[in-house]
Formats: sequence, C-alpha cells, structure tokens
Amino acid sequence: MRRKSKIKFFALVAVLIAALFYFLQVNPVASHLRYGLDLKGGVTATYQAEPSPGQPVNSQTMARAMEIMNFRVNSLGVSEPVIEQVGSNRITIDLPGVKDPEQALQFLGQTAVLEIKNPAGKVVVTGADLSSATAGEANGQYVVNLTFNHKGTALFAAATKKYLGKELPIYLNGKLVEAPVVQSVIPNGQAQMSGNFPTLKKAQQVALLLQSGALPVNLKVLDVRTVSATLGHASVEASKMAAIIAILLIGVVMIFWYRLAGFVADMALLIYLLLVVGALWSIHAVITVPGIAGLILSVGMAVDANVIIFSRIREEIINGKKPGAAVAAGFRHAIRAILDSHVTTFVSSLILFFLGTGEVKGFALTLMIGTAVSLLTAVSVTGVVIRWVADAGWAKVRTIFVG
Amino acid sequence: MMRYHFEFVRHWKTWFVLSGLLVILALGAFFIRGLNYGIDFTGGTQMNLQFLRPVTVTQIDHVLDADHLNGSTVVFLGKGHDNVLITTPTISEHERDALLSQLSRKVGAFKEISTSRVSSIIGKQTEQRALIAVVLAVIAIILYITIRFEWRFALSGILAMLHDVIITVGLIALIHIQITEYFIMAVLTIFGYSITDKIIVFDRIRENLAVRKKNDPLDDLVNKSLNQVLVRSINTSTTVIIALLALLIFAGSSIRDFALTMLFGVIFGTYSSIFIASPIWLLWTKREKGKGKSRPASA
Repeated sequence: MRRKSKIKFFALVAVLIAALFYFLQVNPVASHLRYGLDLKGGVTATYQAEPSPGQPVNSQTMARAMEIMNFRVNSLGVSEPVIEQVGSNRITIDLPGVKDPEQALQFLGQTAVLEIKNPAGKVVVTGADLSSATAGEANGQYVVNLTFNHKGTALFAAATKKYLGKELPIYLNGKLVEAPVVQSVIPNGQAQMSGNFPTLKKAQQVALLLQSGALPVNLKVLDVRTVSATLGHASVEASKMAAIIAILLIGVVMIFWYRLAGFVADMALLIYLLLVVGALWSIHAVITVPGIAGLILSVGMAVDANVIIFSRIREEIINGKKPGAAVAAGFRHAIRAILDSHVTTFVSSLILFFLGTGEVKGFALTLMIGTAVSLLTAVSVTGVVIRWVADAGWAKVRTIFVG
Repeated sequence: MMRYHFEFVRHWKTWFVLSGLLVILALGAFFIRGLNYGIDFTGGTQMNLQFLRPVTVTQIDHVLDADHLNGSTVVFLGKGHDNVLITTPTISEHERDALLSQLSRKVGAFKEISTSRVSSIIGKQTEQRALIAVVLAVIAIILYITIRFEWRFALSGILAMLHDVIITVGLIALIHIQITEYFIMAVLTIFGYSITDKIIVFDRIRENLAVRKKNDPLDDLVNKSLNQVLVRSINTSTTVIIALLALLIFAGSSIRDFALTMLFGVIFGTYSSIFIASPIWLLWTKREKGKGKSRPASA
C-alpha cells in the first residue's frame, strides 16, 4: 500500500518534469497558439454593411459579401488572415503583419460594379456575367482582360452585333472608363478594358476586384486598429515574462505555506496549465489580452481551490483527526465550497459568452475553460495525490500541513 | 482550538461606516470627476509615435492647432519624452497623412508604432451588451445561491459585490486612467472574483449552521466562521495579488491599467467578503428571526 502510493507519486513527478521539459524546450507550446493582433501586431478592421440601392442587408447578401471578402483577403497574400462575420451586419478582418494597412483596407472594401451599356445608356452586360478578369499589357498600355461566362458571352455577342460600328461604353462603379467603338462582332466572350491604369499593379487590383465580384452591400469602415509588429512582439515577451514570474512566485509561496502539500498543489497547477493551454490550442482559440485576463482569474480560482483543500485538511488535523481521516474529511468539506464557487463563475461566464460581443467573448471563453479545468484538477489531481501522500506514510502529515 | 481570534462581527458598525464613506466617495468621483473614456467609447483617432529625439507637448500642439484639431490630447508614454500618444477627434485617412507629414517636418522624425481609428459604436455596444449580460448573470447567481444556500446569502453577496465594483470604478475615475475596452474585462473579472470569494465564506457559515446547537448565538457562529476562513482568504488573495503585481510591473502598457483595476477589485473583494457581506447577512437574519419570535410573544 505504502510502497505503491510512493511509486505512483514519484511516477507522476517524473512524468510532469518530462512534460514540462517537452512543452517548454523540445516543442514549445507557446509557439503553437494563435495570438490576437493586440499581441502580435497587424491591423484589425470592422466593416459595417449598409444597404445599397435595391440590395438590403440580409443573411444572403452578407454571405455573398463574406465570400467576396474572403477572396479579396486571400489575394493580398497575408499569412493567417481572419475574416469573421460579427452580429448580423458586421465583418471583422484581421490582417497580421500588413505593411500598408490603410491601403489594404481600402482595397478590400471597394465595390467594383462593372457595366457595359448600349449607346442609349441601357445596361447590356454587367460584372456578374464575368467568368474571369486578368491584368495584362496591350499596345503599351496596362489593360484588364475580361472573359464572360456563358450568359455574358451570348449577351455580349448580341450587343456587338446590334451596335456594330457604335460605342459600347464601359462603366466602373458608375464612372465612365472608356467608350470603345465596336469594330467587329465578338462571339467568344473576350473583351479588353484599358482604363488608363498608371501601373500594372493598379490594373491587377481592378482585375481582382472584378474577379471577386461586386459587393452586394456597401461596406463602411467602422473601426481600424493598427499595432506595429514590434509593439506586439514586445507585449508578448513582457506578458510571458510576467506570467513566468507570477507562476514561479506562486509556486514558491505555496510550498512555503503548505510544504509537501504545497508541492502537490504546484503539481496540480502545472497539470491545470497544461490542460488549459491544450484546450485553447485544440479549439484554435485566439489568445488576446482579455483572454489572458480570463486566464488569470481562473488561475486564481485554481490556486484557491488548492488553498481551500489544504486549509481544511490542516484544520481537521488540528482538531485531532488521524492523517487519513483528516485528508478525507477535509477534502469532502472543501469540495462543496469549491463546487459552488466554480459553478457560479462558470454560469456567469457562459452568459457572458453568449451575450457578450467581441473581446468579452474571448474573455468569457478562457474563463469558462479555466473554471471547468480547475474543478477537474482540484478533484482528480489534488484530491488523489494528497491521498497518496497521506497513504505513503509521509504521515507526519501533521508537520506537512501544520508546519 | 483556534490559534487566533478576531472580533469581526462586533465592530460591524465601524466597517459599515468605512465602506459607506468609500462608496460615497466613489460615487462622487464617478459623477463629479467622471470616467476618462478613451476612444473605444468616444470615437476618434489615436496615434502612438516614437520620436527619435525628445519632443515637447507645445511643439505638437502647435501642429495640431494649425490643423484645427483643438480637441486633441497629447500624452507621453513611458519615462522619456519621446514616445507620444496623440488622440484626435475622428479624422480621415487623408487628414491623418497630412498631420503625420507636418509632424515629421515641424517636430522631428518618428516611427509610427500604432494607429487606431475607432468609431464609438463598437465600444459603446460592447459596454451595453456586457451590462445586459452582467444583469442576467447576477440573476442567475442569485438563483443559484438561493437554491444552494438561501436568498439572504444571495442578496448579501450581491450587495457586497456591488460595493466592490462601485469602489473600484470610483477609484479609477479618481485617478483618471484612460479607460479602454479592457476596462470592461477588468470589471467583469472583479465581479467574478468577488462573488467566488463570498461563496467560500458563506459556505463556512452554512456548514457551521448545520451543526449549530440550538442556543449558540448567531453572532459567535458567524465570527467563528470568519476566523476559520481567514487564512484561506489571505492566502488566496496573496496569490492573486502576486499574479497581478507581476503583470503591473512587467507586462506591457495595455495590460498595466487592467492589472491596476483588478488589484483594487481583489483587495476590496477580499475585504468585503469578511467585513461586509457576512455582517449584512447576520444582521438581516437576526432581524427576520427577531420579528418571527417577537410577534407570537406579544400576541
């Protein structure tokens, strides 16, 4: 019995040391987490959709707008962008490490309505009838080559036939780009737009905008936050430093207060941290400053759970119970208080998660995970290991707890 | 067998007067001085510039005045006079570029560290939604504590929690830290910590009530419970305060104000669990019981 408990205890210590070494040195867990822009730098923008003539803001137009934004963001070539619909009419875009954020955002929010009209000013073909748009060079000018889809090809062929020798003006966002004269019937659905683009890049942008399609709604920039990568990096480093110092100090203080039991608590806290970070990693949570706040609160609760357990055991011993009985009774009494406090926090964070917006959600999520894991480790790790300790006949438990 | 014994309950009037004064002071600070709302709530443009050489506020003010941006503020970050936070009313991208080029010409070369162009809608909405969520959470907490304990515990806990939040917000108004969306998180965290702390203390009273002998005075029982839970309260708060101090000293500026706000909250939360929440419950319970007894006696 005694021997077994001792072996289990040392086995757990060994496993933990190995895990600590692995997750800090061999395969640093911190580098697998996704960090919010407030920590790593970049630009985050929120657009608000506003109805454009004939196009209300509803779930359909928002879905289309999201699709288009996805296409455009991906064409920027930024690593790990985040595009999210927030509420019923907002889109948030995170672009890490963009050099010229304002320009990027302007590009993303542009509408690109292409219209080819007949001489009477009636629309014959629109950007919706395109199958592709690419930039190129022709006659020493930068141009956008347009390829129509099946329907567009038919419409364009008919139009070029009907208005042969006349002008078919091209409009972009309601502005006249050019008014070429139809030289011949075009049956293959190919057209060229030479809108006096100053650079190839400009032509490429217009091509991309046309390719992605016209936004069905107007997107107004509500909010832009830019954090330089160096500031982001510095704040991650500073937070890491603060976290390490805090954890070490708490670990030392716990051992100082509760001796061997404090060491058990430190083991429980270590397992707790590994589980919480693992949970955050597995659900691809984005770590932000508010998320760290939620984490601190839950670490506080996890430490508290251990303190409550040991304080109770200590009392039971002072009241004259035998080690085994004291551990059992102390744990039983403590766990009720821990359960009530954790459930309350969990319920509040659940409500915050469902009703809160943006950053409040991130805060609530980490708090929720942290609270659940804290309860779990208090029952399974602290509860079990402290029994091993009592059982292992380090049964001067009195000195362990009472000092 | 107790190694120490403090008379928490007997001096309840002292604690109530102290807390009452603090609450009045906090409300005064909140309504008279007001919170220093940052652009998350007011909307505007905020630029953090790192000048290569120290600069003066007057230099920057000159440029801002020339651009008719009179409502702007200029604050130095950190110790030196080279890292500047400029907050202006909402300006367009074009106006911002013009301002930046003038600054580099007239004040000196700088590196742009961050820029936020914010509409007040989001911050205000976050605040409103958080408020609604908190009201619902409070109702849920009251229900839960009522089921697990009794309703007087629930209301005493919530009252004491309000006391903690009011005093903290008042202190922040008093020292006039500019508040951002993070402030909302800090207040939510205090809310969570405070309620948790009160439940632990109430749990002890509940437990002692269960084994109470008929003629044991309630005052002694509560006082004994508070003494029993004292070490745990101090130890737990100490560990949380260690974490917050580490953040306050080492972490970046955005987290620093957050940590300070929480520090106030944790200190008052711990204090009120022992000195305010439990005495409220005690007085309340005694009054109700007293009524219940006196009526049949007088009849």
